[in-house]
Amino acid sequence: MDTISSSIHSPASVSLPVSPDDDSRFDRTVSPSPAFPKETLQQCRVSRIIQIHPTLRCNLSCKHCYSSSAPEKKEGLAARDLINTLEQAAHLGYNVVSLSGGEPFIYSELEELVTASRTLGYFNSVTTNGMLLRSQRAARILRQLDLVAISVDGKPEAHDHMRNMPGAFARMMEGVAVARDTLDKFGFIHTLLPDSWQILSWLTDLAIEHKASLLHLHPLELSGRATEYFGGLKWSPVDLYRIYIAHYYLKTFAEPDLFIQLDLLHRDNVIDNPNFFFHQNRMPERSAKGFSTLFKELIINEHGDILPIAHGCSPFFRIGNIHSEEPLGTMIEQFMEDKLGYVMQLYNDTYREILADPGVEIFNWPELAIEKSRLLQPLSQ
Amino acid sequence: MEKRSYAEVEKELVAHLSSANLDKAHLAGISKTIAASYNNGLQIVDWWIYGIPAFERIVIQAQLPTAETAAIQTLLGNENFKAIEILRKGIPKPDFFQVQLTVERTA
Repeated sequence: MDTISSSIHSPASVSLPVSPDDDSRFDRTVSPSPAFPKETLQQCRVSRIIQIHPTLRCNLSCKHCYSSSAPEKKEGLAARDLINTLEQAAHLGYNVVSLSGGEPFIYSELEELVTASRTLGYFNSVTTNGMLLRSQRAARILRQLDLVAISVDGKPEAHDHMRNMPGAFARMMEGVAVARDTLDKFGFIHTLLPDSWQILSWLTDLAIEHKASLLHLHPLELSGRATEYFGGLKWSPVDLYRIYIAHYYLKTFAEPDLFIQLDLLHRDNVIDNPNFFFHQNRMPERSAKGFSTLFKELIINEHGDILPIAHGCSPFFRIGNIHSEEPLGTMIEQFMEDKLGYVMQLYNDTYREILADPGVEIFNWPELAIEKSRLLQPLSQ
Repeated sequence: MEKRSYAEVEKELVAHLSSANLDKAHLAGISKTIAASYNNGLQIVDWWIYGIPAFERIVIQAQLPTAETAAIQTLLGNENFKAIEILRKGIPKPDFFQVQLTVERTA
């Protein structure tokens, strides 16, 4: 299932740990330009996200799903455990909940969860296939949300094919109408494939026509069911350049009516921003209090495991579990004591690989870090 | 930016990006230009494509806050930009530069 976590940052990429004294540079809700694009969050608010996958149940079995969500999956996490964790995380500075899955609207405790997170002060966002938004229950849930991102895979035939369901596009557009009429802000999220550059202008037109605030472009993640259908997929540098160029061209054309978020980086952006990584080898303060400044996104997966970096990172980096009786702050401090050095090494190694390979200029940084995390061995056994 | 229909935009953009003589090196150069622009605090506010069928000249008009004047020095050293025109904008007090960058493909 897609996620819009990274769309709440601008201009690109999911949150990355930065040096504690450099937080202002990565206040990504503030554009350096005098002409601000339309923001999905209040200006000057630094988003610190809890990305939650409460269930892998879904009404669809999409070909590109990185979590292999499906109708036969079992119900997931108990809302009370999630709410307990969110309450503690709020005290540590986290302020955005991003719900994915699975299909969040099929999660039986969604209403309880978003009502509680709203009460705790969170900005509530949900990524959905848009096909289950017409019920009264959905209407109550939508009133608790600040942003909904609806997945769109392309023109109707292509969308239905990817979703493995005829008529999926038409039903999704019914959900778009509901979201547009109910919420101040909604957006579209598209899983990029190598030939997506050919439809980016069509997607932009779709978003503007339906008064979306956001178009989020996220590269296909090769895990879960996606490996079955797209395992042989290769991204050529030319495909990536085309997507990168087309995105910026359309961004120029569409802003400020529509904010277009691309989860790809140019190598020069990374090299020219050394504080993007911990490569300066400065050990940050190891306390729970400063944790959300370093790790602006935490992931709670379908097992309740709390992870940094991004969905799919190695379980070696697990911070804890929501079912634990241990306070979140204690889990975090233990994580920083035991694992922060490994995280720094992971980011440093990823950064050095980027430097060493000038042939790869456009990439999905979190995907590189996740791949590396799965290969990482402890420094000492 | 000049308003056009998306059908026109799609036709123009796809035609250019799929052109047979738009090679990897040229696409890389354009991408590098974009990255350099954003690295230097510019926001691209308009973008013209000249040349049929492939990119031969891209003129990027961007706004650069006057506080970012050091970035202009960096831009002047960027080999991707064949021409840079800089105008101060803002009435009554100049608060940004209008920067026109030309990226040109040589034959």
